Order: sequence, then structure tokens, then C-alpha cells
Amino acid sequence: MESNLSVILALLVTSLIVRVLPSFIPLRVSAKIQHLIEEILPCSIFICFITYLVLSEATQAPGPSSLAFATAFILSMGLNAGLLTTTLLASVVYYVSG
Amino acid sequence: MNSGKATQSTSEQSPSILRTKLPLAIAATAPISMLFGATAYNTNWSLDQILLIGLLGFSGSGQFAALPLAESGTSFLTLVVVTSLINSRYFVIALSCSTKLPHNTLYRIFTSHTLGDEAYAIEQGQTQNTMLVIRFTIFLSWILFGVLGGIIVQQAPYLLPDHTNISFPASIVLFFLAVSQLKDRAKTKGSLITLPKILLGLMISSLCYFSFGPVYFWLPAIALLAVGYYFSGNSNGK
Repeated sequence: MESNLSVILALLVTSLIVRVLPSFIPLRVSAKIQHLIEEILPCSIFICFITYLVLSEATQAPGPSSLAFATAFILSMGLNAGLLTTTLLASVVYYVSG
Repeated sequence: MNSGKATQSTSEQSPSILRTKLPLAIAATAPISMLFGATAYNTNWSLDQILLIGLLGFSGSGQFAALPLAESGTSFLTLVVVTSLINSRYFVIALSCSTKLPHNTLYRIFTSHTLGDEAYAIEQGQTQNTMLVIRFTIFLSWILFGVLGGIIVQQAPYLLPDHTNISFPASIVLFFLAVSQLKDRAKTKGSLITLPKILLGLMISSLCYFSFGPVYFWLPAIALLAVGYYFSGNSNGK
């Protein structure tokens, strides 16, 4: 019971460190910094999201996840499919081939 | 110069995002949250504590990692260090969207606390109000589905999935959102991001992933990519 409450408190402190603290860091918003914040950082983060998702799922089920991500990539990039279609079809590919 | 156009386009997109992407993101993350609630309940967490950890410790992977640590009696400091490392990516993510947060201090703290991966991916290019709706909705649904997972296992323990990876649809949602964001940015005239740079970025971040592992690769990878893109942009006269 006590250890559970200590975990909750630890996660709250973590949130304060990694999410709340950076939002109070004063930024001198010159054009270069603005560019860094609005374009460079988000692009870098999204690229890391893709890397993380593909590689972490590949360690669990390499074949099905590769097929599913390839399906999602083709649907979203090549066929301009929407989020719902892409998620449904790629998930079906994953669970059927798994 | 194009801010008027961008604002108009954004306000037109907002209702559609709230109707389509947001419900799907919730639907995809709900099973993960329910799985967390169910797992926590099975490891002697009460429903009140599951509610509390969703509310105060909202952090997805950090919550899952904290369960075994709680069982093994890990010290408070170790818990903070481990979960901070697991969630270190949020430091950069929070920094990149800090200019859009409300000015009121308490409101700003709460809004920052509700930042999540899916919310960040959906709220890009949206107005502050839409951003707040996205964050609070995902936050609230994460908490409620977590408690629901606990209740379901309380009533029917045999329903807990055994070897099925129920988080995969959530991975696809985040993958789609990330790819769409990069595609939209690459299409913008004069954009810093081009397809070869994205491919190079994927190679560099993969190298970091294999070098540092899935938990620790975030900061080095984001820093390397940001520095690389920054200087490549400058050398092109941007």
C-alpha cells in the first residue's frame, strides 16, 4: 500500500521534471530558436517515434509487424488513406499474419 | 506572411481532427490503459490507487515500468530516476510546444502534465483551444479506461489477455500520425525536411536505438537529429 503510494508520488515528480519544468524554461525566441522549436525539434521527435515504434514492435513479432507497418506506410503515403482505414487494415494484417 | 492562411486552414481542420483522429487515438490507447488497470489490480493495487496513478502519474510506459518496481520495494529516488529516464523524451517534446501553453501558472502546469505522445502528434498546427481539448480528452480517457480495466478484472479475472499484443493498434495510430506530420512538413515549400533527410534521420535514430536501447536512445537521437538538421538548414542559407 505504502509502496504503491510512493510509486504514484515518484511518477508525479517525474512528470514535474520531464513535462512541467521544460514548459517554464524561458526561451529567447529569436528567428533561429523559433525555427528550431517549431520545425527541427518536432521533425526529429517524429522520426524517433517512427524508429521506436517499428523497432520495438519488430522485437516482439518481426514478420507481422513489418507487414503491418509496410501496409500502414503504403496506405498513408501512397494511397492517402485516412487514419481509421490505415489503423484497421494494418491491425488486421498484424493479427491475421501473427 | 502566410499566418492568416495557416490560421484559417487550422480552424477549418480543428473540428475534423476532433471528430476523426481524436476518437481513434482514444480507441487505440484504451486497451493499453485497460491492460494497465487490469495488471495493476492483479498486483494488489486498489481501484482508488489506479485512479490516482492515472491522474498524478499519467505516463503510459512509465506506469507499466513502475508496477514491478513497486513490488520489489525499490527506493523512491531510484523510482524517480528510472521513470524520468524512461520518459526523458517528454522533456524535449514539452520544450517544443511550451510557447503554445496557457499563461496562467496553474493551468500551464496542468496542461503540461497532460502531454502525451498521441496528443502531441495530433495537436500539431492546431489552435491552443483545440490543443487543450485534445490533451484533456486523452488524459481523462486514459484515467477512466485504466479504472475500467481494474473493474473488469475485479469482476472477471479470466478476461485478462494472455499473449496477445493489444497495444499494436496504438502503435499504428502513432506511426500514422508521425508519418503524416513528416509528409505534410516535407510538402511545404521551402521546408527544411526533405525525403533524403528523413531517411538519413531514420538511419541515425536506428543506430542510436541499437546503441543505447529503446529506453535511453531518445535524447541522444533527438539531439543528434536536431543539431544535424539545424546546421544543414543553416548551410543551405536558411
